[in-house]
Amino acid sequence: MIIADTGLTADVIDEYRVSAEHEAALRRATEKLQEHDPASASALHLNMQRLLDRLPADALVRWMLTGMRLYPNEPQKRLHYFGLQDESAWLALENEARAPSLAASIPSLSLLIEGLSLRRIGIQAQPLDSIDVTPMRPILSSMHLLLPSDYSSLDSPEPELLFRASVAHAAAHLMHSPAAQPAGTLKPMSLAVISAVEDARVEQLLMRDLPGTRAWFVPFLKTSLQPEGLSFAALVSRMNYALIDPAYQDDNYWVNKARSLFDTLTTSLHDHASFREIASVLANDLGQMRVRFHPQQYVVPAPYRDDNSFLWTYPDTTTPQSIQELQVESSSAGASRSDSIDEQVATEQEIRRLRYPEWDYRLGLLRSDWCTVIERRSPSPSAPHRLPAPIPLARVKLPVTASLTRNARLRRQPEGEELDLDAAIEHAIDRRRGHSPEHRVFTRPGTRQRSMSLLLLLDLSASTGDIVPDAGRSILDVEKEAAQVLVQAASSAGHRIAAHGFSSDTRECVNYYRLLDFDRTLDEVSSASIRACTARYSTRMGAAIRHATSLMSLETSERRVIIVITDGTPSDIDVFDDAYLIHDAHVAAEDARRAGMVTCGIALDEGGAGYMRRIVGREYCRIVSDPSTLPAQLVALFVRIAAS
Amino acid sequence: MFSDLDSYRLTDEPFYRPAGTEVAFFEHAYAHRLPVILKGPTGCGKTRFIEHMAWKLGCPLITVACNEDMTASDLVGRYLLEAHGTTWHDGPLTTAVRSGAICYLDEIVEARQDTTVVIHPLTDGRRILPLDKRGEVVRAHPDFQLVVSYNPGYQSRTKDLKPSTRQRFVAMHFEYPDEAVEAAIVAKEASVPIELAAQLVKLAHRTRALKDRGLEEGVSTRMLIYTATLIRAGVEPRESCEATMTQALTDEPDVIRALRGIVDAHFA
Repeated sequence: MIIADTGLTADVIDEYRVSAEHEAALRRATEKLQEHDPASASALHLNMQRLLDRLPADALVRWMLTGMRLYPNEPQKRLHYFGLQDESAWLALENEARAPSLAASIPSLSLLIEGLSLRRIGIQAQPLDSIDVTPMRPILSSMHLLLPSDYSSLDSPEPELLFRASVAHAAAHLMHSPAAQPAGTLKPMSLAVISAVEDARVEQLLMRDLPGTRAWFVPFLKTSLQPEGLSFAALVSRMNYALIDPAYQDDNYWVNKARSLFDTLTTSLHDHASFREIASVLANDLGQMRVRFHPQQYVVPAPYRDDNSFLWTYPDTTTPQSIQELQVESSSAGASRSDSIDEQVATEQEIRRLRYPEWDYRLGLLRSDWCTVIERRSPSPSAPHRLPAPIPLARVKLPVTASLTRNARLRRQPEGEELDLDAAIEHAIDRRRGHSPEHRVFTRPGTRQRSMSLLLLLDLSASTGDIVPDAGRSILDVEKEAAQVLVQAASSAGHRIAAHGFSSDTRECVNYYRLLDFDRTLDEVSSASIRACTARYSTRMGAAIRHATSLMSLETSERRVIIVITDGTPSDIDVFDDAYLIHDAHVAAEDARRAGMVTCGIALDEGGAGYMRRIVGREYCRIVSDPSTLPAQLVALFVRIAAS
Repeated sequence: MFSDLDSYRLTDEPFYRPAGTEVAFFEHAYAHRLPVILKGPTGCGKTRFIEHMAWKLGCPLITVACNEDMTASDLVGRYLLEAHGTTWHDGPLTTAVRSGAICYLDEIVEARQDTTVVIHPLTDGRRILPLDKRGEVVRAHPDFQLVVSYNPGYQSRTKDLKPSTRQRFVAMHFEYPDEAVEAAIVAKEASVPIELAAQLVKLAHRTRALKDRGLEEGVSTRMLIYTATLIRAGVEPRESCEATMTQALTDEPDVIRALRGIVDAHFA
């Protein structure tokens, strides 16, 4: 086993909670190093614990790549790097530890590319599949931009600047490049030169509109510049820089020719055909100069520029893979799960099935009728003796949420919209009798509590079965307790409240339980049915929010609020992209907002739980790191909603 | 209280750059004294438009900013206690009705629905305002016109116009003007070069593309004028945009980062 070989034991993996994907990438990277350079691999092995203490698995892979790329042909230096005896190893370590992950930047990058290009483009991270000395480059299609996960401190000490430049360059292509031109019989070298000239042309166009982007591109073109090199990549890097920086002096004839040809056309930047002509001339010159071109080894010199597969279609051969198969159906994935749960679900009576759409952020498309929500009768407390004993519930009193009403009038007020006739008469009498009159002679409307409907949506997924440390209870138990506390408090304050739960088993089966409905009081039976919930399956939050929204639309209260309580990021066994269900849940919450509802989220998560902030927005999100404080947090959230 | 109508007359021409035929259209509506709703996103020039029209038509303009606590009495008037008894004081609406002004109810949806019902008799063929507390029916002055505005962007269940109210109005839809017109407006209002104004307008268009993708509304023309004013005063452009756009529009960190990127891209 590779893991054992490299000292990355299962315990270590567990301990550092590396996600499955990153773990796999790390395993592949160590395997690759083992093949390539056993000495360095054993040096790494010795330092693995120390490195994992400082870096998460994905950052560690990037650190390894940095070493392999820094010293591709110098085994001794590479050995020092992996033995942590090289200064650059420590520098890279610090940089990687500091670097924000690509995944965390994607939401803002998606907005940025939409703002720059005025098109909706999904941004995704390319998985680190090929642990290779050759760096990855972004891949652009008309719907997506795939950014490399292997941007390391070698490419940019601040990865965010690199992401930003990649996004701007992609926006330039999307706005100004004709996509998918037939490559025809063009030689690979011609394609590469034409693409490089096209990159420069669209950047010029973008910089004309958005002059600030020049400063985004120039540093990367400068660092990728190989000033003395005469290889194809070096010449292209020199041309790239010459075309963007007029102050740059190059002594190469070909580079200067490229620049002067390009300059003749700067007044007609939209004339794509002319640029293609000069690029063909330049490619031809390179051919005459006997410059060698290796299509397999060549990558676009500037790390932010995409691989230009966006520009071309190739006859007969397959185009570079640009859009991955995003959604993986999994009908058999559930087979391995314990049968007892399935049996248990089978005994729960199905009430109705409804289909809801789901948002695919990568396609920018609402897939219609994608998820099936199955409403089930709440798990019947058939064996009440097996239920946990009811916990004595804390009494909570909710604050009054008031607004003006005409049905209650306050008399004898110092200010108001109408005179209080009785008070006015007394005032007149007092004054005539020479007494000092009472000036409070107005009436104004009183206040009334705004009616509110609350729907608590409990996550019943398997992970809520985890025991809360020091409490001896599961997260689900805490959820149930908090739900009951809030139900009691809200109904005694005169609000309408319901408690529903959900768990999902692929998109075909999102179980939805109406544990306590509106109009029902929390009695023995409903309390028992809440307590009877068990933790199982996964968290497809978007579908549950959509169903809750449709149930909520029947409510007539002035304020309608859905509160989702969950213990982790939305997930399901047929979805492999962490961001997918987060985006979907966000869209579901936005739709609820448009329908006049407020969606709030409470994440019982020791981690940052940034996903919840993304789903419901910062204003309506609470992150509870200590589950035992959940009831208090719920009340605090309620106050916030009531006040807004 | 509202006797001196001269203070409601606009003496100087408020700057307004028409984006279409709205001026001529409003003149027709005014000629027949039809009540008008001005719809449109915040900061696109609704209030400025009505000021301009009031100036052009030579009418006094009485503006009421509606809010949730506003009652019908705040519009029509109330009895107040004085030394020798009670006296009736006309509210802004009654003043406009009696004296023939344009009454402009800004952001009408902010007022509660029962308040807005008082305008109903004024907005149909009757053109009367019954003052039930006073036992008086005020017939509208021939020059009186009612204009209301609202922003359909953030409707919620509790904040929407009743059909019975909105059907009484001629509705005029306002949008942010075309790029060239908007740039000219910003350049004129903030006294900045047209090139800077055009660049700011391009920036605004890009933020408007993010509406409903994290932003409730994009950058408005009014915001652009603020930005340009600060830049003219010597504030560094990025800093000015940060204060008047990025931070003013949102609190979400992801959106803030994206907006900063968009702003940064626009300035060399």
